[in-house]
Amino acid sequence: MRLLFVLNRMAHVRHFDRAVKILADRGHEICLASQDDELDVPAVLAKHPRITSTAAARNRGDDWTAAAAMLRRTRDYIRYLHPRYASAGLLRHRAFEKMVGAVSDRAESMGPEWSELLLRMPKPEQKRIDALLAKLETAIPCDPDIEAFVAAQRPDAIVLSPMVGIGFTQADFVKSARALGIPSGLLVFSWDNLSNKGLIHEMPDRVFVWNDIQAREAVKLHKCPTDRLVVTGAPRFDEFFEMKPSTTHEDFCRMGRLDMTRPIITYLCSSKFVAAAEQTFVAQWISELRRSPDPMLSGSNLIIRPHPAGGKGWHGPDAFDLRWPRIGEKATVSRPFADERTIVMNSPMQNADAILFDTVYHSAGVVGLNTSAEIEAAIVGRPVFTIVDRNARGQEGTLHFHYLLRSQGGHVERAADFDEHRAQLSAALAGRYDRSQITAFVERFVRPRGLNVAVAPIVADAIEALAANSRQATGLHASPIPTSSH
Amino acid sequence: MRLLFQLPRTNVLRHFDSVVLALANDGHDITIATPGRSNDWPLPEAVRSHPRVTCRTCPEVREDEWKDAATDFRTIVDCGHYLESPFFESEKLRDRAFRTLAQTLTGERSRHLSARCPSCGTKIVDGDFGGLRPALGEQASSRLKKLAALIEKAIPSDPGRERFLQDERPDVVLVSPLVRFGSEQADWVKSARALGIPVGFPVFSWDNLTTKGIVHVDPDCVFVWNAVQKREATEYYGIPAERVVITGAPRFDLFIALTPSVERDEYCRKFSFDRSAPIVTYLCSSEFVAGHEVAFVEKWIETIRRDDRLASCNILIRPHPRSVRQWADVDVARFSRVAVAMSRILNADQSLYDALHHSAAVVGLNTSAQIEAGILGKPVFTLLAEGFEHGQQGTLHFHYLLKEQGGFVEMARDLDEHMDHLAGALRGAVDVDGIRQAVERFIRPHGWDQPATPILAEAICNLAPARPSTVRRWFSAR
Repeated sequence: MRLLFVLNRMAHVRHFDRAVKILADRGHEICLASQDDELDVPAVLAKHPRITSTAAARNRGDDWTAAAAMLRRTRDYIRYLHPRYASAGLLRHRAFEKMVGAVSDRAESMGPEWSELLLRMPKPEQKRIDALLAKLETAIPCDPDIEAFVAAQRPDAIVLSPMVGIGFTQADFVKSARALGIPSGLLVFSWDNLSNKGLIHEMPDRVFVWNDIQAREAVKLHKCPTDRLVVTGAPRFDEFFEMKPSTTHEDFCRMGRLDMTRPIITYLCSSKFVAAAEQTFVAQWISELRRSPDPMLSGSNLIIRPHPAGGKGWHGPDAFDLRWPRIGEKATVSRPFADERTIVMNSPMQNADAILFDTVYHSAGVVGLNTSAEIEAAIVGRPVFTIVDRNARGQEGTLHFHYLLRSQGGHVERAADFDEHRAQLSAALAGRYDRSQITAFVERFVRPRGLNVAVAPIVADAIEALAANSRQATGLHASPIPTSSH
Repeated sequence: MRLLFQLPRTNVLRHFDSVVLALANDGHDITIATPGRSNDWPLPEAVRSHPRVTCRTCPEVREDEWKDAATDFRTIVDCGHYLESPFFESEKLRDRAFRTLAQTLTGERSRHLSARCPSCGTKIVDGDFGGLRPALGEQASSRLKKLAALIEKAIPSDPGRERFLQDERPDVVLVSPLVRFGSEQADWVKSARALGIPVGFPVFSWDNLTTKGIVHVDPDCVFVWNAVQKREATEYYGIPAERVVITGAPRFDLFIALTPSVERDEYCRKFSFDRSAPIVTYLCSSEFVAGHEVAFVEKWIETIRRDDRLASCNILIRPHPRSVRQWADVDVARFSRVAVAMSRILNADQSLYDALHHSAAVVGLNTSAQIEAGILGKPVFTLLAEGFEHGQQGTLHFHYLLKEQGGFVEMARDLDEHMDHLAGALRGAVDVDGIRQAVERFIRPHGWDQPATPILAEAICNLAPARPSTVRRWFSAR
């Protein structure tokens, strides 16, 4: 079979590269079509003879280009008026800004407060406007260029990701695929994707979700018919599950110049979008921990791991690079906080980060405001904590933050203030935390088909089924398929 | 020929009944298609009983899944129309458009759109939302217009309407007033065009192209009263000039043909007027234009009574036919020689004719009856009245009748100037020819002795294709 993956950026393949490789290994022709003109296939897939790449259009090429953007961004904004997003001012503002940007060249002239203008619009009216916009979406025709592109690829199925970024145009690929009788599937890129981005404007034939929470989101927030849902688990963590530490505790402490007699607490920074001024918060967090009456906590080693997308600006002038044993990746370490037992350490790795694995593995507790690495910490079995930072508008003001909380069936212990946070950390350092809760969360959230069942093969099976059903149903694409020109 | 008039209510026919009769008398078969509401007016006897006229109930709303969406979308587009030049100052019209949107979106549960300004907390209601437009800039305006045009083009023809038209097999479809907010009549135009049936849009009234919604789907031909409306159709709605035909206003043909039904002495006796004193008639405006007008009119009467030049005149108040209720309990007995003459007749009203005929001068804020007064060559006056700005200067059509815009209505900036105007008129300083010429340009641009009815009737017939429509051909082939 021939499978076309349409990615907003080539880098997005990292969250399901194993599934892609499995499909190629099974003999399927894979074409990775990237909308960012990046044709270099990631190293793990690059040498495979049945994986090729091509450039896909960033946008429509017809009269509807601007119009489609306006309609979709408006609908994306309207979703954030719903009461469930009442405290999601940050998400609402981002959607508003993108909407105004699509309509006007003066997005900057309207302050963020204007995104709240329609916030009190009653639900029935919101529903009606959404229904109108959904109906108008059906009026948007297939883009001839995109349709020609998809037709030329002659895929048995088209798989898209992430699709839901505000302003992304992958809905047009679904539209064209549907018009051509080619089945389509959305691989949900990450845990926050269905609740804090845009809507799925053209529903693919299948939506591959991580877990029951995302399945519920797909139905409730995106009106996805239940029969289009396939719960696969999160393939992006398969490699992480298989990891073993590359360092002993002693080696790790020596490399980071940490006191190996003291426990380690790792702080996982969030994205800039979630926490715009996290450095200030981290400085406060360090000093609050140092004030703990528990000497174990006040004297612990603290590792600050900047978010992979925002490492710059964290390190001090004393920064030095390390080559990580066995894997050879680079890590950068420094002590910018004038605290002898606090280091900042990060690596450029974005996925299956062995340095993150070792860092979490050697930690007694992990702290974060709202970031995906909290999930990795759970996979390693470490207790994870969060503390409310009122300045981090992307923390409590997002839906996905709550999914990880223990009170919602997750694994993250939330503290309302530093007293509570210190008490939670002290307990963790003393080994008092619920390991079974962490395991249960990982199974439910990341591997719903079984903790020991890898997800990538499940995703590969689901994509095969999508394509095979189409062949059986329509008899389309049965003719010999030319090899990719790329 | 088979002609189909599609109207939302039977009362719309009052502006075209003479045309329907002319066409029927010429041997054409006419269908009056309305949704058949229970409170519809009965059609005039002459129309109803004509052997070539048939009335049919037609679908009111789309039957497909675009039913709500098309209406909602068009209502939003209509609101956008009032954010554009030349409607920046038209607050009242903008308010009404947004109110209609609120009612549409809420299924009549709410009458207003409202929010709090996130910056200062001020309440933003209805047309105030238009204040956001400048922040978006010109580019937004053109992008949104393009978006609206693309969407309208993409809305499919309604299958229910198509079936109705296929059943009726008309050679020409006429729709009016077409420009109601969120107009469902746009779907009649769409379906007729989809079937290859020519569609004509006779404009209902003088204010229709500047106070209502837009023409969402272009008909094949727009029949307008005059050059002003032709400019409106082309400039504001983008209708190609070659699709606009100036016919004049058939609704006044019957009025022009009227003669006084009563002598002046008898008329004065009826209202206890002093027959030796002139009559000044005040024509009330619609509630939309003037709201509650009684207090203003009373003040106007008092001012006249204080003016030595005018104090002795008789004053006749003509409430607007649709707003008689606000006058029901008004007692004008405290003023001598003042009477209120109520009438609910909206067209070719003999009582209006008589009132105007016996008047020396006519006053109104902004109302169609000013045109009837002009037809009779009467001097017509208006004054800029505090509290009524939005219904006067805030509309475009108000300006069309003004002398300084080539019309015949003399505008005063205040009551003093207005009293001077009235005093001059009562002295006989009236340019009757000037008034007639202006009225002629407005309602009979082809000449005073050229009634608009046959002109419009002929223009409708000209719209029929040389070859029968697709529907006709299809039926002929069966």
